[in-house]
Amino acid sequence: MTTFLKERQMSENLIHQCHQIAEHLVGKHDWRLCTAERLATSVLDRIQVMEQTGEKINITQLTLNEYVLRQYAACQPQQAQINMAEHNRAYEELGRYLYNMLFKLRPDWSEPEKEDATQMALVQIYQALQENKVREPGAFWAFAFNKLRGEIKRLERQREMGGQAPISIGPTTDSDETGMLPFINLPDETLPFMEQEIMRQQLCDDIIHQILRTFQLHPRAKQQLMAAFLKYAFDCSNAEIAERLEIPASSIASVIARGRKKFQANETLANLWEQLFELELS
Amino acid sequence: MDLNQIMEYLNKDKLSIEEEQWLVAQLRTQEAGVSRLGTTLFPERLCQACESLLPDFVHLEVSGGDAPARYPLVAEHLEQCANCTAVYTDLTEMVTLAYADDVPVQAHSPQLDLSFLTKSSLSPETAPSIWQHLSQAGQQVHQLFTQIRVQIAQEAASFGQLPQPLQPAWIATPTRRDNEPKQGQVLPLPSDGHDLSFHLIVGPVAGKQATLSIEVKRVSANQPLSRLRITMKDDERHLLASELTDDVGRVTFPRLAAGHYFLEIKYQDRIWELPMNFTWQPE
Repeated sequence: MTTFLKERQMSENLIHQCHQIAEHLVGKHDWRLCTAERLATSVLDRIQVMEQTGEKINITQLTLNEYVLRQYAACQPQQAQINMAEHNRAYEELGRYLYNMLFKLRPDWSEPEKEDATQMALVQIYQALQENKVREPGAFWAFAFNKLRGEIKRLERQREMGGQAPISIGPTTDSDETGMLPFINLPDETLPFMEQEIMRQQLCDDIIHQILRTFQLHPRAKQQLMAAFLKYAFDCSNAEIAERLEIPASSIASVIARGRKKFQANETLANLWEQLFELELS
Repeated sequence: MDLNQIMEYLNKDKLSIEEEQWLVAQLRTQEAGVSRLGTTLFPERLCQACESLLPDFVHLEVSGGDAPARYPLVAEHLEQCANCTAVYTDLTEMVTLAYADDVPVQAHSPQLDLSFLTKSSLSPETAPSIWQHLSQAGQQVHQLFTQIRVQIAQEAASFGQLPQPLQPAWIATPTRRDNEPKQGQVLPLPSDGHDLSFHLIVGPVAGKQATLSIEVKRVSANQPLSRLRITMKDDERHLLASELTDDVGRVTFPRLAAGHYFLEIKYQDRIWELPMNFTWQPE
């Protein structure tokens, strides 16, 4: 009986704490994609699962992450078809958050500079979502921050090169829509292993065909391509390549370098390899 | 591997089909070499691939997960690449600030131009209608222009091929079994000029039977619609189940086996009818 009461007491404390944190965060950031109550309920659902698996619980982090999932869902292109106001609202909130982040990262920047970086990052996030490039919805903020970082670096390069200060842009599209975003929770886009293996093999095949195509495209540079191919794909030494291709040892390095440049000029090959790298790294 | 033969074929101006097949088969066995060739020729692409995974890596790490174990090759690349390490460091700082709620809130909002959102987005007004208007026994019926195919597999159900503009998205379904979120799919369906939107969710499978949930929302108020009648009928339109939406606007129909169904959503004096076809497709 005592244990039951203790558990119940702990649980009530936890519920209270979750609601308090959700209310604080929603109020502080003026988030309106869902109510604090709804957010707290989702967090409690997650905590229930995490308690059983013994995972470490950080309520603030969980609450923020739950809101990230809602923001991700509302920023999805499909959401524009269902509720444009909410879609707008999600981007407006994300933009405001990125802008606020800049006050921490680049406090010395002028407001137009901060606005410019935010604006460009938002457009890039929008384009990436259109192309389904966000791999892990829970990491949506990290994805957005990466875009913001790219814009920060771009503007800093522009500054170094003596470029003009960026100009502030257009009026805010605001929406007073409030309400709840539904159900979407914790997606995991990780490909099942078999599917990943099939994709890897297909990419390898495409690369091989593209390598052969490079040989066909440069009939007069076959020796150069062959030299680079033997060097990098088969790990042959310069001496071995020189012997196989009957090239003087003194010129083998420049032959390999020319072959390498011809391969590098094949954009399709570069794109295929990038896809393969991404698959292998994931 | 016969390197001399490979070289001979690569040197040829034109290859026969058999020769090309032999060459491809030989090179397939050299996967490590193919990967090495790419790394040498396009190191910047390796960095791009790494950067596209860094948000997931950093998010996992800041959330307390073992990112190097999940992405060992990213971790390995970070040890060798100063540029990617710089991205990693910056991103870690930003995500840590965010998850510690250490981002200051400014009194004024930035002047942002969100007009890019409306340029290519398909709004309900401009979207081609996905509903056919019928009249059945004096009742206005809005029937979906296509049959929604659902494939039931061992672990989870998913939507089959659907014509444009229907576009399902992957989600983890709210129903959990064994404390693990199960992957499912959601299909958003805007209604035609009415203040409604529907979400169909398929996910967990048990005993070759799928679970289907429907959520209904009032678009203008952005609120779920509760106490709305949703009916599931078989292919001869015999009643199988009829439920009212709950507080979050949801009805769930568990244990749907392979077969044809009609899902009906009744709102005011109209019915939205969705023909559905569930098929059993074990992996």
